[in-house]
Amino acid sequence: MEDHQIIDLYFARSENAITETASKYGRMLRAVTMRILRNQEDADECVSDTYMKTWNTIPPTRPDVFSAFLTKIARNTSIDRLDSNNAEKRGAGEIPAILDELEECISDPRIPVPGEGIEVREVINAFLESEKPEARKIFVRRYFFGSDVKEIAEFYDLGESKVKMSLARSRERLKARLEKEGVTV
Amino acid sequence: MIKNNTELLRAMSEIDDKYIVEILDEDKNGSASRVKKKNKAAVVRFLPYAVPAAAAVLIVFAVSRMGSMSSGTQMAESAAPAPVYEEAAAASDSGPMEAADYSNSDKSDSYSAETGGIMASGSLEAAAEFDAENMDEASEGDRNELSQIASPFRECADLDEAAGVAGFDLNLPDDLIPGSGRMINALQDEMIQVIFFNGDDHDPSEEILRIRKAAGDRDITGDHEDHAYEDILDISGYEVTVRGESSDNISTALWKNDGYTYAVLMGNETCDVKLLERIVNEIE
Repeated sequence: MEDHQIIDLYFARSENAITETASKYGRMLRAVTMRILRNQEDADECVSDTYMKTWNTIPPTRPDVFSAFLTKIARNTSIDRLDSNNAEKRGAGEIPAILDELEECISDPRIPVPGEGIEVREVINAFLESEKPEARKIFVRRYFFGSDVKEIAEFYDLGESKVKMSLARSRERLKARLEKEGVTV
Repeated sequence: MIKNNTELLRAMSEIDDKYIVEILDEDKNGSASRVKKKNKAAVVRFLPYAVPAAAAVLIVFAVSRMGSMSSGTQMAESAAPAPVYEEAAAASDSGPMEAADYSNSDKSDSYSAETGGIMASGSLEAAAEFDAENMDEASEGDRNELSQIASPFRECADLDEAAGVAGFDLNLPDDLIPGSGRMINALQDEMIQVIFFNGDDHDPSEEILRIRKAAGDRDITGDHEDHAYEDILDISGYEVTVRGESSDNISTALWKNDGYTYAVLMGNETCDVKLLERIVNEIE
């Protein structure tokens, strides 16, 4: 079924909207949640939560790109679950390492984003736009999807050291962009 | 303001869709290492044929060269083997290429078979420890997941309870579908839905029809099919949009009244205009 037809089912409040979503994107969503949580039970629950959040968001929202829309919900739901798990001292997969790496972009633990209307989202998107495709894709795989370095290296048939180098340089450029936008670090 | 690295991680969720799609599309097409491995496998497959082919080319070359030398036109004929070389080169190139092409399409097919049209992702699948060679089990998992998805509707004991959830009521005569069992559902502040079944065990395969009432004027049929028959009927002053195979076999009906939208969705049984008129007239 086409994405727009599935979205129409949400607008019609048809239960088939969820089953069609699960049928088309269930495996992808389980992979996204599993990568972040590294726990099958938690990942499955987050996928179920993703369906319910999607149901509660559409309508009124009509997503432009349904797969990306679902992926973002699944990612946020998983990170929320991770926070909850961390409070209960349960596993966190790759995220602690990713957080350590992102710390490099923030020399001050509190980064004031300057000026009204300048959103962190805009800075990150501008940064991604300026990146070369290979570096951008490696960055997004690592910091959006939560892939580990080995996995990325295997996917692109690259050495792990090259992936690490690419990530380190991208982080430097992101830090520079945050500073350039007036962020005090 | 970013309070810490966790917030930066969360801010990453706000990246443009195109950067996410870029990765999802890439995953759908498979990783570079996978393609490389496939190509390598194709070369290995082709190898037993390549050696005899090369030997045949050499023999042809040697025979033609001997022939040209014996004719005394060595210079003129020395160029003759070139097309043979080119042909051999083309053959040795096209073999693996064809094999590679085949393996790529094979990969696409296997992805399609693996996922049944689901987003296929070599990398993402790996994260979820999906085993492409053990798809029966994955399919079973998919089926289990589909059967375990919670319904967003709240099941209600009666129409009064449903009215409390939806914020408006729906009145149906008890004998609307004589002898049927019914399941009453509601969505908070949105909708009441009554599903009629043959029998009382609410077996989905025994669904006769469902009647829905929702606040607002959205199409609540969820019907995206193309139908041979589509018409707008005047029933008791309501404009009722009907779709189906014919006026004797209506699949869905939709009408509006006083700020609410009503829908009839047929299950296993057919609905003709006469039955529809009765339903429209008896629903409030």
